[in-house]
Amino acid sequence: MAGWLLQRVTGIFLAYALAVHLWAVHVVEADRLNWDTITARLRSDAWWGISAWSVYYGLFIPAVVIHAGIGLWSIVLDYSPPAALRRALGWALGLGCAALIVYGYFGLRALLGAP
Amino acid sequence: MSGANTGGGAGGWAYLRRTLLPQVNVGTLAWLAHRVSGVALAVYLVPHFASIASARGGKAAFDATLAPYAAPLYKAAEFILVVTVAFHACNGLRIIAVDFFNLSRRQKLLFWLVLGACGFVLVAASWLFVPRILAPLR
Repeated sequence: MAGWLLQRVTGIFLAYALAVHLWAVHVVEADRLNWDTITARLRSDAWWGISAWSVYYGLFIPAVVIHAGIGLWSIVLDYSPPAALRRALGWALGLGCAALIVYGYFGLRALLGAP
Repeated sequence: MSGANTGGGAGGWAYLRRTLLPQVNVGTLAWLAHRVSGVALAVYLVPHFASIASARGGKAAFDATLAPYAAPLYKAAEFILVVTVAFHACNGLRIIAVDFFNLSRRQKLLFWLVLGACGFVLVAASWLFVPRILAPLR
């Protein structure tokens, strides 16, 4: 139930976030998608020293990874695997998703010029 | 898997034919397309995050990572990616609308609307991507 709701909450957010992301990357920044363009965008629009884009991507990264994780987990459950396999896949997915969120933040931090 | 695949001596194919074929309809195809597109997008996340993580090497490393993506083949892949995202997003919103607003009797109509929205994205995005895919011919 919690997963079902979280999948819908992240899904609605991702529909918005991906529209913004794809518009920024493929329309606004088409043909000049590079370090200068992307870092300029990510470090702009600061409110009290915090860039709006850092908040946006800071939410986007965990939302997309959690959404993917819940989606893949529901596929696992559809096949009713034996308990041991189900547990192993659960751990693999959970740890994989946690690692991917951290990995995503590493890249985001570098683009934001964080120390 | 173990419990479901009984009685089909031929294994997976017989199971698939028995379970899928009698009930192939718009809803099944929507479900399958949502699942396949979802898995594809989940897999895509990993190389995408890897490209972004190359920013840890600074401007030179990041630009070296992104440079090949301007090639026509990658533009074609991005075109497919954008349409896949559009489908998964629109169909996902359809599923949410059906869940929250008790629209299960309208789900097929909603699916045609989803395909219409994807068609619109396909046409709009082709404006952007097709010239870049065909750039070598100019």
